[in-house]
Amino acid sequence: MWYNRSQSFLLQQCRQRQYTFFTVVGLAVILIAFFITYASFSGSKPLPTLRQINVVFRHGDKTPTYSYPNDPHKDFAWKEGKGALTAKGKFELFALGEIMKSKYGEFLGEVYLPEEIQMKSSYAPRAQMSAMTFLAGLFPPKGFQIWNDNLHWQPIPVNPIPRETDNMLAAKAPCAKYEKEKQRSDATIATNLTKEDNDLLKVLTEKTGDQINNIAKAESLFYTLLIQRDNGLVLPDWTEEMFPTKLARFAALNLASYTMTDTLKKFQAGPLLKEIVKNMQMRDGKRKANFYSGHDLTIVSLMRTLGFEDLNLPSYGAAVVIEYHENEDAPGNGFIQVFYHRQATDQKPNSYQLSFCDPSCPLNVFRENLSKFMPNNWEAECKS
Amino acid sequence: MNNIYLSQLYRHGERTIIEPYPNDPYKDPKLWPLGWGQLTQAGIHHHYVLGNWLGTRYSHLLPKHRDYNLKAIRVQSTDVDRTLMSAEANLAGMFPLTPEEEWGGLKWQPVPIHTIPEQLDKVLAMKYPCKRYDYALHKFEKSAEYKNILKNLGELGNYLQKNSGMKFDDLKIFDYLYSTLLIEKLNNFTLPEWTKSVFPEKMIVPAGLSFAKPTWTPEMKRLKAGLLVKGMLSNMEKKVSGVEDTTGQNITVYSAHDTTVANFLNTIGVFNMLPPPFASLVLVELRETSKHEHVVMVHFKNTTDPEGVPYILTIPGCTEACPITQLRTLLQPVIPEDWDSECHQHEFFDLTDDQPYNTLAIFAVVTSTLIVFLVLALTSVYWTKQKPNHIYHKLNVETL
Repeated sequence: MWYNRSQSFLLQQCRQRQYTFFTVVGLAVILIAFFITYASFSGSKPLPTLRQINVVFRHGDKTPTYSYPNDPHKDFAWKEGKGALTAKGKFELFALGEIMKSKYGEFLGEVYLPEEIQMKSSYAPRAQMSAMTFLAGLFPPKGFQIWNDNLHWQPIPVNPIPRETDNMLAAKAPCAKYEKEKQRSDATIATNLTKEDNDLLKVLTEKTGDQINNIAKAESLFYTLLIQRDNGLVLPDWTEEMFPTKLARFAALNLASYTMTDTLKKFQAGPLLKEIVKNMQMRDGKRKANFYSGHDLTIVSLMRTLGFEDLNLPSYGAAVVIEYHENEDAPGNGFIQVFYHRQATDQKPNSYQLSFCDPSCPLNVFRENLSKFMPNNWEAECKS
Repeated sequence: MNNIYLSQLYRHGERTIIEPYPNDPYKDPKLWPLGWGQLTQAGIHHHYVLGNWLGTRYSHLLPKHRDYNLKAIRVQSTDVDRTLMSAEANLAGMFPLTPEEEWGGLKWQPVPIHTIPEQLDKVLAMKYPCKRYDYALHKFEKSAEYKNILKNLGELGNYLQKNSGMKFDDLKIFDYLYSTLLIEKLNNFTLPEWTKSVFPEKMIVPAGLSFAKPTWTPEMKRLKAGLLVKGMLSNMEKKVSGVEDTTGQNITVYSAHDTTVANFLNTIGVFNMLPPPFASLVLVELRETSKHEHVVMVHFKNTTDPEGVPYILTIPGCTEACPITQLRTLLQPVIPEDWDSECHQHEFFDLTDDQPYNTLAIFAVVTSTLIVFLVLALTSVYWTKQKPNHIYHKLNVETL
């Protein structure tokens, strides 16, 4: 009896499970069908809470700026000149623009309106040109903005920041306080190098014929070798031991050295961070996107100041996206999401979790936690 | 004659109106979806065709096949959307993508454009503060000559003020209204009935005059457009002397405004007193003769039509092909030696005019005189209090 009852109970349970199973599968099929239909009929995701994007990206593929005395390729004629954006570089940023269009197209709208979009750029021609190809990918003319049936491009202003006043993208404007702190911090980094590291620098100095006696020089060397290799030039045999891995570490460490301490972060990345926070805070309801065309260092400095301190060598077209969202019922009290595109053709950016926020970051929490990195008066504080 | 160097100065292409006038029937922002003061699609197209025209005309100054490289050209623009966009469109026409230059995207390539924020731009924006210039302008505005011009325009000004609702208290208001009406006409908006008797014929004269006003006197020319003239001239002189500058381009482009074009032309003495049209263009060519002499020729494309023919302008006192040394001498009065320090010179003792610095100077003179008198008076009071006994005593002694 007990046995039978138990058996029938089991049977009953089995039947129940069957029902549940079919229901779940059925629902799943309907859901999947729904998503497939949805995905195929909508180009870009609707982002109903999105109010503004701030995007900082690195320029595209370039020709080298440095060569060393024993460089077998030092006389190689780079078609575009030194430190210039290449054809590949143009395409990379165009592709990034198209990817951004697929994600944010619906939010930005199809018509380019000057008051909605701002593009600032480092003064370097490769950064300006990257900004232009990015915008070409993001805003092909539509409707009344088509002015030439054979050319799906329209001019969009790019604002380069003069080098001597640029404290946010190339970030080369002089700052006495920063330079003093950087010297101190660099000395610490140098003393912390291992014996192996120092031996490697000696080898590099000997092989290249140049004084590669610090990580900054090692970074220049790394990029020149990288570009040469990417362009099919054969590297000398001695590079096998340290290229790319060991040299890449030096290069990444050097990029990080500009924001090694809180003071360095404040003066190196503070002005850009402050402007982005201001963009989100002082919204007049018109500006939808602020773009910044910069360098690998711009990306690393910003990311480290946001708290992402893993050593990083940003690829061409790598991009940090800071999204600002607001709920309908809570205007003015928005929240922030940070994404990182590892490279120009990265379709799926990584979402980055800010250490002081969980999981979405209210603007005021974001601002308060980072306020120590935002100088009140950069110029004056640089002198003090 | 071999053309070896070129400066281009152009106005941006067709734009939307800067601001509607108070009684404007077309002041609804919905009629202007691009926003105020923005380059239109026609404006983009004109500059694109103009760029191609320029590239063909000056292919001898560009790299082979009109390929672009960083040394091919130097472009400077004011920091305004419509001038930056005009330059982009113009360059897109000047450097069409050759098969060699394919990059996998569009039949277009990016060309960098130099620009600096208006508040830092001393050369092209022509808005950088200059006290000495403000003084010269103020002095001109008080002059009988200017007052007479305004008096003669009084009747027209009253008519326009009554109908448009704009306040006609400055010559430039004539141009503001003129350009707004022109743009509305270009956009096929029917202009109000009252415009028929005055637009464009009667308005074009004061509108044109308003462009001459900022550079009316030699001093105003020197302080307003002098740095641009100086820059162009010294670029040409560098080319002549063979000094290899760091960039080495054969073409320098300036993308700017109607005011820039007018200021420049008036400063070198060849302004026609008419508002410069959209996409109008000044070409300053440096040429080398068969005898290795260097001459300068100025052309002006006084039309929006990108394929229109440029006119040759002759600088007063020179020939069509003006020897560069002679040009330097002729332009000397309008070329600042040291613009910054000249801008800070005030004429404190020019008492012929009631301009603000004079008021300040008079005040300073009067105050310091008063202070001197006060000190003298106090000193003499002090002495008269101290000395009498002394003197008296002395006299006393002497009489003894």
